[in-house]
Amino acid sequence: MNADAVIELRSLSKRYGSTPAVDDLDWSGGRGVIGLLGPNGAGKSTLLRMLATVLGQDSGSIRVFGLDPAVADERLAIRRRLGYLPQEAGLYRNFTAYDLVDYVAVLKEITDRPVRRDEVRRVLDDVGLTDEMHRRIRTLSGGMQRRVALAASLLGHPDLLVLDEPAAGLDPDQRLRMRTVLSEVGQRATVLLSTHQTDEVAAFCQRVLVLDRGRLLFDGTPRDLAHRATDRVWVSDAPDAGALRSWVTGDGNIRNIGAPPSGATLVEPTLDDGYLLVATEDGVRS
Amino acid sequence: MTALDEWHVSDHELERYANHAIPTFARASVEAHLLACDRCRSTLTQAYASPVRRVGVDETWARIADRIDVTRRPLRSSTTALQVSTSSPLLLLATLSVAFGVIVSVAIASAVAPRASLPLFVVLAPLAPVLGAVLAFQTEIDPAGQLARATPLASGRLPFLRAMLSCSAALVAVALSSFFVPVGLGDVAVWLLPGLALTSLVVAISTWIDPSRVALVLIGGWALAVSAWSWGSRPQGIPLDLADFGAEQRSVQIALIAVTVCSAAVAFVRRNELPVWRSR
Amino acid sequence: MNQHHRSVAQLGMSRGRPDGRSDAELVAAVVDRDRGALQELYARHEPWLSIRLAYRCSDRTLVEEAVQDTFVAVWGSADGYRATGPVAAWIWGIGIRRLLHVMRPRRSLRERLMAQRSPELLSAEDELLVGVEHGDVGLALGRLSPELRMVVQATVLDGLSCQEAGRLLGIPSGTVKTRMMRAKREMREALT
Repeated sequence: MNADAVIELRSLSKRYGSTPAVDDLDWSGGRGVIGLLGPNGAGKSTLLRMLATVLGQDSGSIRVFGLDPAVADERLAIRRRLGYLPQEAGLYRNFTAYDLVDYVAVLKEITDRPVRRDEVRRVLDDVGLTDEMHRRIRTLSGGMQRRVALAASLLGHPDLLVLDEPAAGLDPDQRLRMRTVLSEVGQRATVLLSTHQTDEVAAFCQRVLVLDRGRLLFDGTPRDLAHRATDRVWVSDAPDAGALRSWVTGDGNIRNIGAPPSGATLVEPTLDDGYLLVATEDGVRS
Repeated sequence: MTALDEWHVSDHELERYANHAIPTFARASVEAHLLACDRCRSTLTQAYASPVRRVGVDETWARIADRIDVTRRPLRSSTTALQVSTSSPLLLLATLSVAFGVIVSVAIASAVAPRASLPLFVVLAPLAPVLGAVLAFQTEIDPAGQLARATPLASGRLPFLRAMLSCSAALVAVALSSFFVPVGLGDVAVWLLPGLALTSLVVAISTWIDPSRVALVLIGGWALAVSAWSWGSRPQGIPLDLADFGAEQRSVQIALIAVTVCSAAVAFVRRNELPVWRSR
Repeated sequence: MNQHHRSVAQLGMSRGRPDGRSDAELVAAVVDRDRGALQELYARHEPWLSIRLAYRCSDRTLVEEAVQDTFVAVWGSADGYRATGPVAAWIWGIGIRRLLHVMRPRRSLRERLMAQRSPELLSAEDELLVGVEHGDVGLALGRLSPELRMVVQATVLDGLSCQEAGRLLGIPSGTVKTRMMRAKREMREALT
């Protein structure tokens, strides 16, 4: 285990009833932008909630900045360096964007008023809401509301940013803007974001974790994930019965992953292929 | 279409105007024209712009921005936890509803079924502050919802302060509704002590588990306890005076105070343990 | 504290493309709390407003203060704009009154109550005078004596009431009225 890793998970487990949400997870990591890939129900949100110190684990240990969220004082210390964007923020819709971010700034102990004002303006500008900051949240579109919550999570230059599907509801232009902001944050802090879209990971994550049913299926660079499917992807005119997965691509051909038959037309694997291979193989095995 | 539309101020004249080098009557003409012509206004803006002026313009805009970039939520100067705890409009609404509900139901009962109003009051009196406290701990009443739970302030005094404020408001409502029933403000063992005891208990329990789960048990338990006690003391009918509820018994009062003090102590000691009990 | 301090003026500037909205559209947007619209109005109208106010008051700091107050007032009461005239004229109305406000200290309550008794409005004749072709008015104005010209400027061109003109020029409002009447007479004679 890396001694100065920002996050350290050891045998981490959490279950809801009989279903494991996080199953005996071991991982450590630090700086940069880390993507968490996985289907719905994979346990991404649960893991992120535990890292954001708002949920307790059933067994195993978590260390953030070397501190234990289960200990009250250490939990407080973690929160002072943390930014969290939940899947459903639940913002009060009658506040203006400025009101809300200012309120969260107070919760983050930014007591000095001019400093707080500059900080609120800075984060709202980072997410591109400078012109809308004095409009009530209920008058903003869904994507804008998401950006308000994202802005609030950026307050105070957190050392760890935990984001649960941050780009949900954003159009491509806004996604690009968000990626720019998060990449910048990722240069001196740790950004951990979950998504179920591989193109987002490919675009700007330095590291990717694939999660399914609470277990870590892959941990490495996006390039490595794609290369998992090297020589395992081929195209054909008809679905191949021996393939693990087959689907029709936009140009009418069939793309297959799995064990290619001899003479098959192999193609360069994409991140999608790598992800599907890892997820399906694991599914077959279990 | 008047002559105004075809006539524009010459660049030279605009420059003279900007530099205060223009005779009075020409100036009046330029000024009147500028009010109506955006083309000449933008010519003036461009001609008049300079790096030196830019700094001053930016500074003035910065000062304008500082005056309009203010929060419009209540208590805009809130920085202390006490003041922030009031900036939850939903909690305010919920607490007022509870308070209003208590007063109205007791008032109606005293008008419609006077014999039932006293037992109703005795049962409701502690439940209003308990409800207020439970509401204060819900994530949904926080303006920043789920997001707030990962912040430093929300894990400390904030939820407790909110619970205290909500609980106090509820107690005021209970005190007001006591005027509809034969209960005096001096009969603290009826309207105040049970509320304090139950609320402290709920707050202390909230440092272990989600209080909304416990609340239902407590409410049911309290209603049963009251019914059992009063049935025991007056088996033949509805209790009509405070003595039937044991309100005047020293031991009951002391027990209630003891529960309050112990629970408050536990809550204080464990005040930072709050949020991790959410299992959702 | 702030790793990269962005000046307030730089906020929102990444929008890049110029704002193509009309002044009236901008004011409507300000009613909807569009901060960028206010910034655009400021960019378009601050230059001429600063110059025009500077002609009425030689103290630069007071003019800057009045400009500041003007745009804060625009933000606060944009719904007061009626589309009966150009936005610039509405802004001027706010601006000149803000200037008066910062130039003169608040009058006592008694003085203000007395002023309330007889409010002065621009008459239709005065509006007509402004509508006449500039050259003639300019010449006609030029032929007036300085005190008469100042009164005409203050009341007709600046749109001030007699009370406000009196305050600006430091003369009683009664004197403003009589001079205005004389000026109108002389200008009518010059124009016909």
